[in-house]
Amino acid sequence: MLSVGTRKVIAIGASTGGVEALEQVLTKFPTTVPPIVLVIHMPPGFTKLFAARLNKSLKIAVKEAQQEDYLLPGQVLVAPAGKHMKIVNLNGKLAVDCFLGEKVHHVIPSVDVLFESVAKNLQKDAIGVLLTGMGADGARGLLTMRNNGAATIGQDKETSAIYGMPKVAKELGAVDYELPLDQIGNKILSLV
Amino acid sequence: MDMTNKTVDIINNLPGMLYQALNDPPNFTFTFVSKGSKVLIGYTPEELVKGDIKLFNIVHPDDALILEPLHRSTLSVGLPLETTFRITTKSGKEKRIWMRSFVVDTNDEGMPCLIEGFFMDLTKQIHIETSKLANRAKIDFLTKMSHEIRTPMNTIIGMAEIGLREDMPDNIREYTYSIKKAGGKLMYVLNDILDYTNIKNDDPELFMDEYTLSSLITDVIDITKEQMVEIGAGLDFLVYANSKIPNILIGDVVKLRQIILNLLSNAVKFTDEGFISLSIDGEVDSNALDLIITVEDTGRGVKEEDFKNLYKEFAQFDDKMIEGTGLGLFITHNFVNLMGGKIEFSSMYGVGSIFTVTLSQNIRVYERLCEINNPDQKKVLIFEHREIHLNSITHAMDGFGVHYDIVETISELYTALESEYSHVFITNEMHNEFKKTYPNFQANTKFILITDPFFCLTIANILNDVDSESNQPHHTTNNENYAVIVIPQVRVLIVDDIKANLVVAKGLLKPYEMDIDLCESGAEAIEAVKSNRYDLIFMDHMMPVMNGVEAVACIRALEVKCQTDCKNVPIVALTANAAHGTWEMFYRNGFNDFLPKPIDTVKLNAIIEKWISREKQNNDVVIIDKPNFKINGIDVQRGIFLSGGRLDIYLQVVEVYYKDGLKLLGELKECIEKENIELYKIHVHALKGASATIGAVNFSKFAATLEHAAEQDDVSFIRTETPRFLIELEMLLDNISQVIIKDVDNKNTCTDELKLELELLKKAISDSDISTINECTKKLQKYLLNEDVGDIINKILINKMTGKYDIAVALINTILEA
Repeated sequence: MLSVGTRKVIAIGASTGGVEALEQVLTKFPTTVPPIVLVIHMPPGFTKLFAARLNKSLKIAVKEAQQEDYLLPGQVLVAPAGKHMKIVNLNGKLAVDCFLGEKVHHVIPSVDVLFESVAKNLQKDAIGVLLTGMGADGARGLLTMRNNGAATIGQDKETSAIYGMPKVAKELGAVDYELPLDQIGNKILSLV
Repeated sequence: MDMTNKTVDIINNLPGMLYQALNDPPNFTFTFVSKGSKVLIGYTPEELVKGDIKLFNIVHPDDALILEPLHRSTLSVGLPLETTFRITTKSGKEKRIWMRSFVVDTNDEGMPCLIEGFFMDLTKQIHIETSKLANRAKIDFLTKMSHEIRTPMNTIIGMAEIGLREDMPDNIREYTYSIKKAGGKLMYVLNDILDYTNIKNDDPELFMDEYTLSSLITDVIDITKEQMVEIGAGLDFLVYANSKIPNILIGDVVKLRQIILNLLSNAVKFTDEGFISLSIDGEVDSNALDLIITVEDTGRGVKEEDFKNLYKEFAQFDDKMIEGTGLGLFITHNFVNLMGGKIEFSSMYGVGSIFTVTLSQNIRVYERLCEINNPDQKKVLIFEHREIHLNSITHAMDGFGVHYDIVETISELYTALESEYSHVFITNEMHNEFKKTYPNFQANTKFILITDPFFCLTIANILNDVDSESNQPHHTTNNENYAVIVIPQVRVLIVDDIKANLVVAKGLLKPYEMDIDLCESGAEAIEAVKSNRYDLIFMDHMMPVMNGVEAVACIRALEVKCQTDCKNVPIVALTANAAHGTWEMFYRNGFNDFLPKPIDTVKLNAIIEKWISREKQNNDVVIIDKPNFKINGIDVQRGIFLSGGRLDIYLQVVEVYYKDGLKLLGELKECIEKENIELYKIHVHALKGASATIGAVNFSKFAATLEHAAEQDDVSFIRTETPRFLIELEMLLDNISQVIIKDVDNKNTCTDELKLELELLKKAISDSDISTINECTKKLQKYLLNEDVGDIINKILINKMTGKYDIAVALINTILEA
């Protein structure tokens, strides 16, 4: 049984500066929040550490995603460094598929891969969030999500450690709400 | 000078300085100087030949005084002169010069008029020599200092340790514990400094020996857990170990332990939330194991700009508030390289760090790290909701090939338990929940609480039921979480000229309950060995008059006249001298092993287990009596051990306890009524001790709390608890009475009655009449105290109990036919 509101999944992408940004965004989330799927660019082995650390400091659960993990409310699934993660339909429920593959925008996991799969499976029932980071990964995916009716948020220039990914997204017209970091969390909750 | 161009080139390229000069003391006017003069003494040939700078301008005045007479006795009479002296270069630097000069021409009177020679820079040579000497002095100093520090440290730590094993008020216990902990920390610092100095002196060597990987892993885990408790950060500690890798390896286990501990210690220090993890894996490559050791943490990480300084000495980033010498990684890095291994590091600031060490160790025995006996007979249910912990457990279980299932809720657990499972691994929290929700639940399943860390070794011990093995010698556990074997039949000699050290050593050996003799000199030790057979000798190696090495030599030499096995008795060197080279010296000099001071109880235990068990293989094994009865509330086996392993003695002790106990029931009641707390305390103290001796452990603890309350004058506690205490005492005495005869007079042989009982038992055995067998058993128990037949009755009952009926019947016949 997923969340009560209309938005069923929150998909977030981040890179350089994402560690600190994410903590700020997620800190107020209650355990009733819809499932969150996250791609953050990190060297191999570190997404596990990152997830464990965040898990301890937040109210909601955070774990490194494993193959075929179901999406659950109040839980963040972090794509494991070195694998792409996408949403799939498994026995009528939403789950993740983590797989090896070619790098996209020179990274794996790639935010685009995640966002495209969310757009495909959930259309308007999702929220896409693109935070600070270098490069362009996630910009196209965010646009696809928006075009399919999802609500999209991009981090603004002032608060981004690197205003790269969110900038490209904005230029593509993928961002509904461009916000400073401290307002993103509340915005997401209001959209849910 | 007559020279070709080629010659001139060669001469000018010489290092040092070639010269020609007139023999016109005191000037020694240069007529030719090679270009090397610039480098050697800072002056160009032109400056020297022109005559402005004379030799004696640059020679050190003290050395000039000597050169003068030297010249007179050599060059002036045509002999060559070779000598060294100091000069000052143009830039003011002092150098030591080696010079060889000889006469090349004489004048018409035959007097030397022209000399030639060669100057060379000796400064570097001297430097090397003096620094070698300085190093030697440094090393000797450090060795001596190390000894000077370790000896009193041994007293501090050792006394604190044995003190803690005694009874004391809580606040004193706290102080004593602090002393021990601080002492331990100081030893860490000292060891770091010594290792660092060894490395700087290019001294570190690898001491290869056989070792057990599982022990090493358990060691580092225990030490790390203690550090975590101290720092109190509430971190999770996860361990992954590949149970299939070989367990008995060859290498320098001391250095390897240090490598792993340094990494774990850093992880603990620099992580304020999340987890630290240790992973041990490896691949076998013919007769070597390529070990891969990974330490991860969710700590603050290291900034990229600090990466290059990571392994440097004194490296500390960020906080200077972090405890430690800053030498840990430097030493680790050095040791890994020494072993021919590699260390890799990656970190994300704000996320965590990952250290990976790879190195090879030779395999001694192809035995696995751990295995499960009869894995198909075990079926496990796992209830662990913490993701990373669950991963670590399933990782271990997958390696064992034991069937397991995972449940995620209390009700799932309940349902799952409808099938047969041998074990349930469950968190404490969930276990309590389960008990609350299903208070009447009964099953054959063992509920095991998941501790931190929970990995293959922990699981193997649990699934192999290691603790309930009844063949093993009796184990008691002390504070150190390792099992100490109780070996009252073993005799040990400790030799040390410092009384405090003897007290410490004896105190630390107390839990083993061995027979201990003490000697303060080598001479005393030799006498002792002549008259007594020892199973193990601890010998301090630095003693006045006759040191340890000499004493050992004398002992080994006694062998011919020696009745007491002097040649083979294991002798362990006690040494405050931790310099590595000395260990080899011990082996060469007749010692079998060594134990550094301050004495580490874990190492001490390892030594005892190593040398005593081997000893026992050559001896008759002393039989520790097994009881064939139970007394509720009493650990009878323990009581027997505390009575020296003898059942008959134990029974006597229990009898005395029984009588005294009855008396005390009344006296305690009176104390309460009369509010005589002083007397109450005395009685309760006595009960505490006596109860412990007979194995009534819990009751003894109860008595301890009351004794403590009496000390604190806590009358209300005493009033509230004593009634329950007395009831428990009554029950205990009642249980005892069912087994032990109350009437002392019945020690006489009731031959006819006994024979009748035995006949009945014999018949019941052949009829397989279980109920009669049990009845007879109960009745026969009262004869256990009997001087004549008690022993045989005990043996009969044991054999009956273990199903060896033939033997039981045979024994019965020996009495019947007597």
